[in-house]
Amino acid sequence: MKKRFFILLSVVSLILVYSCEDSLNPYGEFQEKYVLNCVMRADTNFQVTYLTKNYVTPDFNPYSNTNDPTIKNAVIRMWNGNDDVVILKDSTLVRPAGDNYKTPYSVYYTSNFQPKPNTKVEIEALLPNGKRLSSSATVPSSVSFSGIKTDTLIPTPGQNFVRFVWNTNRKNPVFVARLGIYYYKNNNKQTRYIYTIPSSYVNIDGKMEPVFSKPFSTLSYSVDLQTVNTAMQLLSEEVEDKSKIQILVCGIELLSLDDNLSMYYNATARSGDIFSVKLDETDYSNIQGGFGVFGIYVRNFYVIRFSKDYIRSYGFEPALSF
Amino acid sequence: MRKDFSAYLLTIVFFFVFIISNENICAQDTGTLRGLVVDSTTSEALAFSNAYIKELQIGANTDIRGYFLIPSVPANKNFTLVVSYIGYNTKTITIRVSKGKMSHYNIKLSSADIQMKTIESIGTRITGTSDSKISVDRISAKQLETAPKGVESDIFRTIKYLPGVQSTGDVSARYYVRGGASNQNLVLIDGITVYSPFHALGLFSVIDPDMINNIEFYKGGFGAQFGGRLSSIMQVTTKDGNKNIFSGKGSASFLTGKLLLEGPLPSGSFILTGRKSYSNKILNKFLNNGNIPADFYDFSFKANYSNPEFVPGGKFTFNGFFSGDNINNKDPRIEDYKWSNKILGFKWFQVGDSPLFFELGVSASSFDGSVIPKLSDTPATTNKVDDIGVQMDFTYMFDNKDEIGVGFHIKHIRTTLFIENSSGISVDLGSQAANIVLYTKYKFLQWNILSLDAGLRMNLTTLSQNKKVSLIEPRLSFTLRILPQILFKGAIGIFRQELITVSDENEVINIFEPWIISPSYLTPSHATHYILGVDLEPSSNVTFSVEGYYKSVLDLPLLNENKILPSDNDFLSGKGESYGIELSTKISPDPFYFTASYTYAHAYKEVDGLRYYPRYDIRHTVNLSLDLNIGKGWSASTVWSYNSGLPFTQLQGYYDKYYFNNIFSQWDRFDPRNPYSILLIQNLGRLPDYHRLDFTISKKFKIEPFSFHMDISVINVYNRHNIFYFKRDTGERVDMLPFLPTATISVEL
Repeated sequence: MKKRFFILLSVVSLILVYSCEDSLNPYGEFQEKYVLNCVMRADTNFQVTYLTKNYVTPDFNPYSNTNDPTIKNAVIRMWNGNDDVVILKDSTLVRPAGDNYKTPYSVYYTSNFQPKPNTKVEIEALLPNGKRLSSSATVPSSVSFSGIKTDTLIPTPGQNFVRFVWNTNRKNPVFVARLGIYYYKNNNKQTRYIYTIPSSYVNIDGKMEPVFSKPFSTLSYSVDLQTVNTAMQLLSEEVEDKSKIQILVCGIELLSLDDNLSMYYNATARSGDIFSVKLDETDYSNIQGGFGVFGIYVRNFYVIRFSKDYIRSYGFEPALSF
Repeated sequence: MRKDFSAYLLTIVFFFVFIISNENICAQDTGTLRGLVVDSTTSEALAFSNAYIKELQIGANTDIRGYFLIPSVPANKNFTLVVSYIGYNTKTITIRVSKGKMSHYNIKLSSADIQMKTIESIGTRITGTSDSKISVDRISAKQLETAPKGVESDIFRTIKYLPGVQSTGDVSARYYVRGGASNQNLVLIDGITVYSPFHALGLFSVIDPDMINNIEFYKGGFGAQFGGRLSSIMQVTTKDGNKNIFSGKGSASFLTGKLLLEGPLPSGSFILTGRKSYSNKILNKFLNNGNIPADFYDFSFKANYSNPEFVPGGKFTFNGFFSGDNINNKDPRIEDYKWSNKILGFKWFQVGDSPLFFELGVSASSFDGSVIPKLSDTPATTNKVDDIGVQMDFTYMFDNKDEIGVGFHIKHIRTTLFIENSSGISVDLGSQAANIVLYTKYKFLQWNILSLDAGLRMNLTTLSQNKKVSLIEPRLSFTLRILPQILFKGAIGIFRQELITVSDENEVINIFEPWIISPSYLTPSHATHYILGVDLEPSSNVTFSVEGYYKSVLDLPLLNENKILPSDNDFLSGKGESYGIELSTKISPDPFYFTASYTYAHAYKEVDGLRYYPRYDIRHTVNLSLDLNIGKGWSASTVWSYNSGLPFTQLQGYYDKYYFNNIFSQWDRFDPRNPYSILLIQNLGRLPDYHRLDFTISKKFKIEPFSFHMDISVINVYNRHNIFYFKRDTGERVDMLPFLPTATISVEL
């Protein structure tokens, strides 16, 4: 019997010797790659572009990177159909406290470029090392809100939700919406404030946590009246003197994304579930010669009035007299 | 044209059945011996046992129902029949067959109460046995009792120790056979498909080992009676239940509690098994101490009826199997999951006065799976598979030992798969169709030196609506025994698969795999297997086996990783190729039992001109096991597993990616710091090697009237840090199971 145990023990001991932990280097051969991000707004002539490059970190944690990957001294041009070319200026901004990147935040901008509806816009970046990144996009058309199908007053008698409806002539459109309570403080009508109404709230350990809407393709957007009520209640709890808040309207900012941004969203929005562990990710870019996205969105805006009684029921004052 | 062809084949089948059902064809100076080998205490059929007639040196192995047939036995003479089975006392009886008739013997073997060994391919040097020896492993209930336990005794984790079966780690019970994906494996419970045979994120199988009588596991080259999958078939035959006395068994592990009840019925018996999870603590170890709020159960029943006064030679069984899993998160912002299997089956098995076996089966199998997003971003998914089948199988043995088999299988499958695309729109990818299959096979067994098994599987109708689908699946296997100790073997065949899963092969863990019928824009995939091997048995307690294989797969459906628009196809058509060589040996000097296996393998996939290694392409795999029967109810076993590194995709670095969650931010507040990985060529890198040692010590003891069986196991004895995956977003290395002691205890009345 002892002999048998000795043999078993010997085998086990032999294996124990070979029990060290192997290290893993997840990096392959490094090659510098370039990233251009420009999400253009069609309702303004102020446009911003970011130009960065890829990086590695010795501890494999990308958030530990402190080397600013911004590329400076590039020449970025953009043009609108057959218009003259616009060259972007470079500038720097102070980063927020606690940011890992310690150098100023570099951006390229112009205040002289507003995309025209349904025209092709092109962008080209010439990097200091001679590499070239380029892309193009077509400005999407605006949507038209339906005055008949969209609610006109909050709350609508006999209805427990708030709905906005619109039309578009685009196929496979993608929208991003933000609903907000617009208000003034202290009768100062120079500054409008927004309190965002999420798509819903959930009660987590007694605290109402907002759940925000994802980009979507439907031609309507609605939230429960209870969600609006909760937003009003939370706003009233945040201010000390509610009588100094003048509620304007409930407004929806509806961003209509162009095809590039729509596809980019489709590629980036495929969030997995919390248990599935996916090792490879799908990337999408419309930047020739690099990564990133160049796209345009149109901002659409529509408002619904609150009833005065409804505003006053939360202790606020209506800002509109009608 | 196709209708004419079908009618022609059907006519042949019924003519064949009519002819061989005629008893008068056995009219020579010999008779046929038929036996049913059962356990003496429970009357459970003993599959794969050996029966041979000593004086004639001819014999056969029992099939999965415990039956054997030996034809051409000289009539009216007494012979000695020796029946043996590992773990049972060999029994010798005198038999005598009548001229031109079938003589039936019921043979009861008593348990030798010895420590059983781990998995082995049952080999025998008796010539003339009719069972296939190519790429098949047969596992009995006794062998499962002593299989490596780990957290929970599990058949899928058990078969991972077989050569040619690959695993991607400790965490998942999914298995990959000879370079095939996990959805190319068919799991049958009493002949009925189980569509999602996994509990709890794929960590365990749904099949409770206590309900199993035997398992046949085909790694390739399987016969014409099997179809619908490209890589492997696992045929699980459940127990009938104790025909002699009522008994019960309760057991508990750190994960589940189980109960088994069985006993006699008038002219039959029944068995009920149930298992329910009660704690997640051990599950959390599988996911790096993450929280897995999983809850699962499985339940099975089977009843059989065999009354000679009702139908002589007939046996009727009714069985059911149900499993369910729920992952319910308390947080409404985190999605829930649920999935379940339901199986019901009825069988009529008939033996008569001729060497004909007939079986009629009616079955229903369904799978339901749902992803319930609640308030999370996870897309809602609902998958349902309804499978209703009728099948008839006939096997007839000629006097010269040759066998012919014919079967007619009808299967109607309806799938629904509602997936919410990225635009929030729910689309249904499901469809329905019937697959009608006629197969025939001929086993040429009349020469002791050579056996051939030629079969043809004909799809009279197909599930896929694609017109390019091939209808014929030819199969051929052979064995050549040039010496009693040396057996050469080989197989070739074509195998089709029309049911596919919408699963991402790059996920190391996924919850469940939704099934759909191959969409009409894809040609259904088909594989060709080529297998050659040799078995050596230099002595009674030493065996050695070598098998080489080559498998090519065409029209392999692969998830379209570049699908951007909802209108893009979900699948692309690719190719697959795998080849390898498997060596295994078993040495059993009492009281030791040692097995060793080594697999050298290559696997590739190709899509859009890119050829890459799938995640389960493992170049070298070694499994060593040593069992020791210490005596006095004590036994010990240890298993050491090694495989070279799994493929993974290397990083070229990160870049700061733009996400839409800050599109409303002011431009000067825009923070692009969302690192995103830039990947190199898919799966070109290799993770470090994997190896692990497990140890189990078991004790059987009695405190009247109870019998106890206790196992104490240690997983990863030397706490090897085997990497599971690398989290690219945080740089964190996630390892597989650490040093983990576990225990199970069962009480039997």
